[in-house]
Amino acid sequence: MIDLFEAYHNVIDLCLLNSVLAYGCFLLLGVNLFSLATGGLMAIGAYLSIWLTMQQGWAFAPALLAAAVAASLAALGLGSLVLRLRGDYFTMATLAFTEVVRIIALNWNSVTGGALGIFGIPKLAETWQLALLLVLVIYLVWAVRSSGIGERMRAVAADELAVSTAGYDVAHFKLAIFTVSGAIAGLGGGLAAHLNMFVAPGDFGFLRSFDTVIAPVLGGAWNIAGPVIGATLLTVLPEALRFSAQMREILVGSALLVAVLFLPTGVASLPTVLRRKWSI
Amino acid sequence: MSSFLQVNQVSRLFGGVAALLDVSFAVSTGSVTGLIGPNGSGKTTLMNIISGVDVPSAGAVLLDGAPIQLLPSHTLARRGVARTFQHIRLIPDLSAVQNVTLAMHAPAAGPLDILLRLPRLRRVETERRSRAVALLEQVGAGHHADRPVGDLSYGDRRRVEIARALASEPRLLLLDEPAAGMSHGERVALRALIASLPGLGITVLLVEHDMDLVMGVCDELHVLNQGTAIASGKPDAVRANPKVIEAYLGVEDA
Repeated sequence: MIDLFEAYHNVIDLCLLNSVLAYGCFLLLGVNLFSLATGGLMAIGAYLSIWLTMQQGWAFAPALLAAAVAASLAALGLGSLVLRLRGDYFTMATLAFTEVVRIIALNWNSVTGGALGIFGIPKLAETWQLALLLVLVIYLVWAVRSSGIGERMRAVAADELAVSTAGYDVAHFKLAIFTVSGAIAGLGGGLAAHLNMFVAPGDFGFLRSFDTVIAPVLGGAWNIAGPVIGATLLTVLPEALRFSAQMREILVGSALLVAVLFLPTGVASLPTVLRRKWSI
Repeated sequence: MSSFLQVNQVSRLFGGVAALLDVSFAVSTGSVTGLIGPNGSGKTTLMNIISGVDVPSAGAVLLDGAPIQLLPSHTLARRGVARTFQHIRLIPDLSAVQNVTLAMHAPAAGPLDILLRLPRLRRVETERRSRAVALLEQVGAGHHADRPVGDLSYGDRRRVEIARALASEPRLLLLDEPAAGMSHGERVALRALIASLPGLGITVLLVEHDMDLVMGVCDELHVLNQGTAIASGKPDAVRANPKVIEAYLGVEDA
């Protein structure tokens, strides 16, 4: 067991981290928001926390807290500008945000090390911290979704007009959720930065945003376990397929396609689907 | 009776088409006021404006003397304006109780109650639930409390939607064709329900095509035709008004 952990602790860390991040998008998908801002928000959390631990001598915990606060403020600002956009336009605007942050990171050499990135970041993030954070995030998301707020989220996803004529400000509500998801992304960014000893602007681009939002969709956007399942699959699958270098991307893509086609409500629905099939 | 709601020369233009043109009328406190007219006469547009879903191109809407025509619907709901929709807008996969509690403003659980699952959360949820069940019973849908509204009949959904509107404790309730899709028995019950609302401090503005219902329950009627108000008054007087007959039946060729 310990050998297994030693051999794969890198993958385990990534699974935990990606799962935490996926819950940020899970919350947003709950109110029909498909956001690609995760990469940009993570970058803000990552670079701020690196700057604080490496150049300002802060301890890890307050640096992480600062990362979460900064990214949630960025999400608050971004959200108040782009949440009025509908559907695809919202997604495009959040993608543009991620690109803008990446380009700033590419050119702000004194803080981000430019295109070369930052080397020798202290490895402060431990597996147990990631696991604890994941448990905490799952609990919080569960508590919110099983309360009246969760019902309001489902209502906003189904019919915004019904919610606003019932006396609740939908724009305000979405902004609050976007801000919370920003805090999760910032926290994830700070952890990611202190996990690998190296960070470059490309780590927080389009692909990062896309993987994070795909994880809950793949795992099940309506199931509380969906993000963990999706993020774990998306992290483990490419590692497991390492033996076939060229085929890897094709195989990962095919696996996703099969999952989406046959399990449209996510991998989390597999037991239900199987049970239904066998009982007939 | 004082006028609780006042519509002052309201117009609503969509491009070059006037859905409403210079419409004025008043609704007295504690009345059931009917708004009738042929299809396309602008009734729903006017309901949208009064409930803050739409904004008039010109004119004003006063609630208790204060202008409300620019306020968004969520603010108006807090000020006591609730509505139902011609095309029912319930959340199909939530239960009837959940749909009703959606519009309750108090009691509310705070963020800490929710995140730490404090005992207060349980108390608040129990109270909200029992109030929702009471409202569902009031509208005659109490036996469907825990069923997803997507599974309910059309008439039952209409009743759940009325219960949801009542949950926000309105002073003014706008009902947009509440009898549509209801059976005769359901309509009789609906009429009794509407008639009971003024006694609870709720003024009602009713848009409806079922003339038996309108004539039976309304204290006063306003008639719209092609975006303009053509008649107002007591139901009997309005029914006898030649302009109204002409609007509904068309004019005979001379």
